[in-house]
Amino acid sequence: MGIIISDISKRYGAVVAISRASMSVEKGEIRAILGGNGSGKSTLAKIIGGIISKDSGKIAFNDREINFTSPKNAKKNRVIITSQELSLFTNLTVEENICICDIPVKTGTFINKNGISEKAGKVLEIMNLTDLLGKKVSELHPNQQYMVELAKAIVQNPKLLIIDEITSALYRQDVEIVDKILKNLKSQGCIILFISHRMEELYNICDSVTIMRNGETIGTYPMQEKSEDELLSLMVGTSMVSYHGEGKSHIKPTTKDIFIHVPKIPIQSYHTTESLNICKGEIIGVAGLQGHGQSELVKALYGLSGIIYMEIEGKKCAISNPRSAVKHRFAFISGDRERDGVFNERDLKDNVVSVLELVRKQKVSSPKELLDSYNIRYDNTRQIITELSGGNQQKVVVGRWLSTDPKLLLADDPTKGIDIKARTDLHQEFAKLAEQGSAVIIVSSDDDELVSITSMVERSRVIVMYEGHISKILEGDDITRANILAASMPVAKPNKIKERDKVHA
Amino acid sequence: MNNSAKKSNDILKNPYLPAISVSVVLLIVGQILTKGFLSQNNISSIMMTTAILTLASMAQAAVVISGDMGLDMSVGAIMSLTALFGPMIIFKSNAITMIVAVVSVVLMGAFVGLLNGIGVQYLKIVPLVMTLIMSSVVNGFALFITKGQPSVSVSKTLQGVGAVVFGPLRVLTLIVIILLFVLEIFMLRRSKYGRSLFLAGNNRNAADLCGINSRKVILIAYVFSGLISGLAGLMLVGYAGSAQMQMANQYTMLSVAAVVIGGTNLAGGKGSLIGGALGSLVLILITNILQALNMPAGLRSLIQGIILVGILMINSRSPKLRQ
Repeated sequence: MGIIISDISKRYGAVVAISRASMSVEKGEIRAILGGNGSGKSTLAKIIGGIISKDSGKIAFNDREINFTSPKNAKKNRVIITSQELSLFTNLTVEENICICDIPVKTGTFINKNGISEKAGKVLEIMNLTDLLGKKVSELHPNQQYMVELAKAIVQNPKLLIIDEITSALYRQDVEIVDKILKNLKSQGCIILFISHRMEELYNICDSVTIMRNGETIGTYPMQEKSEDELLSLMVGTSMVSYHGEGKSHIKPTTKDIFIHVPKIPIQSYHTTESLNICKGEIIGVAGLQGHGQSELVKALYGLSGIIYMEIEGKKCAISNPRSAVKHRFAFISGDRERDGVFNERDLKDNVVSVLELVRKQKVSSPKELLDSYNIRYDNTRQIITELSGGNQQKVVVGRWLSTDPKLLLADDPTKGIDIKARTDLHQEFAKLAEQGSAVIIVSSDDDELVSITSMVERSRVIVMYEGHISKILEGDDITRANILAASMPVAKPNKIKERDKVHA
Repeated sequence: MNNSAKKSNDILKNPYLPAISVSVVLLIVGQILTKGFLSQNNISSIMMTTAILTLASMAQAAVVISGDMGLDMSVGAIMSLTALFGPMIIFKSNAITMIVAVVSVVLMGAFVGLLNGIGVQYLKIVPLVMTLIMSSVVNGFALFITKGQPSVSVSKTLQGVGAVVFGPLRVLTLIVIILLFVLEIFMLRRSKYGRSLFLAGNNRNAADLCGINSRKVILIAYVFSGLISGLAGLMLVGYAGSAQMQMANQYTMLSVAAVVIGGTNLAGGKGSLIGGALGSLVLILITNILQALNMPAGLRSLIQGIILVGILMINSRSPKLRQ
């Protein structure tokens, strides 16, 4: 029993996405699939889920060969895939979305509204999300949308559940719920394939791990037998220093010259305002639980919440929109590269020089040099950007901004859904920028990331937000995951999380 | 992949390829079906009508590229308007007549385009609806002023656009070809404006975050569209030699079709003016062949419609086929 995948290959034209991937997963096993971006994890997941067809190879599910021709076909066999690309209808309610694959009907024809609420309500109750009932998906925060996506999968009683990157947008308390649900499914004998970049989750949730690299399955190991460093070197192919060790220890800054003073930053969803002093060469990490105003804070600084007044090096100025922010040498990198970053119909050159040439009016003599200096893997500058892997696309967007030599870099979860190698590269770029005297403000849903990046420069702080206010400012050695977590939840502190955190710390 | 394979792959990916190959096939089919299809006279008239439709498609392309579901359904109405009023401008000197006529039709068109742009970008009216309404307003205006009985005589000066330069090439054809390449290269591809237009059309959100003033950029695309449509109307009436009410209304749909055949993405952010010109050629060739076959007008437009659906179907599927 279980699923046996043997020698799956898939090519797109000349590009090999997967070559002879093989693995087998037992009933009731939670298997992590780990690999860099472009290593073929998502392609493999999509093949199993019937979204794309394979070129060769076999998949046997419960001793029967399967060859799904469509997701519908896969669903009939209760093979469900949830992917990082959400499959929700934003104009429908949460419960309608959850039941969309099998809508309860009355007398065989008419939609049974009560049935929908009941069915969705049960799942949402398990997930502690009953407050989402009746809301439209468009009203939800991105992380809540991911939870709905998961609920939609669970309501279909999967025998094989594929979770592709869904947790990369989730905050810690959501992940707790996901953990609980997956363990529950596991006890019912469901097979779970779990794709994620977050090591901590993998260790908590998964039983075993299959490593993929360049479209091949490198090997499968029991999760607890391999350390993070070992997994990383397997993924990358060469041994590399772990992500946690990239920085020095935190040093408490002694002197401070205030670079930007912002007296009033509006956090619209909480109708609150906050003030902030930003120093030169400083990296400020912004932490907090889901939607407590972190994104709004950086967006407001970029002039996206109307006009904002600030003092830059003692001079008063007003930033009314991104255009004037760019004029003051601000930069904004969003984690939602599809929506806010990438021009998906345009080539690499257009993408990377957009700010420099079109807004700052500086001629770029060699876009190639620019791309090369940010470690981007590409073929030529006339390539359409979507031909690159997600991590490389994000590097192009980062390159677009870093090449403008920004004084203040605002980054809203910039490493969401990109692999650890690309992530480390970006952190180093950010640290380099700070060392040159610019300031960096980075929001992340991953506390580890903040601990790590703030340790890379001399001056750093982590500000923790709660309900639209800065609830705590951590500096120096106080920047630890445990402290961030504690400050994120000043009211309720679930003991379980704290204990687990201590173990890790 | 070796180099020659890569090269042939690049040629296959060329967005102009479908339009060029279809044009060649149509030319051959035309010559087989009717004698004299490739005669100098016929070629010359094909080039003239293509030139006028090319102008209309250039107007349309700018708006389609600007994204946000951009479509300009007022291209034909603006053309009809300037075809009606343009010839009324007559001065003693030919040169002044021409200059004043061109400037005023361009301004007329640009004004309508500006209204379109304001409606779409400031009043947030869906482009399709806004420009359709504007088309009806413009038609109504023309009807109101002329009381439905246009008495326009087209001056010899204006008819000069049909004069032969050499061989099958006439003045208008030459003007449009020059205009096409100048605008394609210097406005669309090289200028800051053209490049911003592609970015704003492709991903408005990202463009705004880059500091590009998308609203202004898109608004200008509508003004450009109106401006070129205005010019196209004047050229049309110069070639036709007489003006009628709503004589150019069919150019709206034809321009959309030409732009799509030319490989411009209806979702915005991608496309070219030259593609629209090639699409225009395909459409004109089809019309010309059907005309040469002496088909009754009703049947002709029926067949034209069916062929159009076929072409658009293949065109919208081709990216998937390539994958």
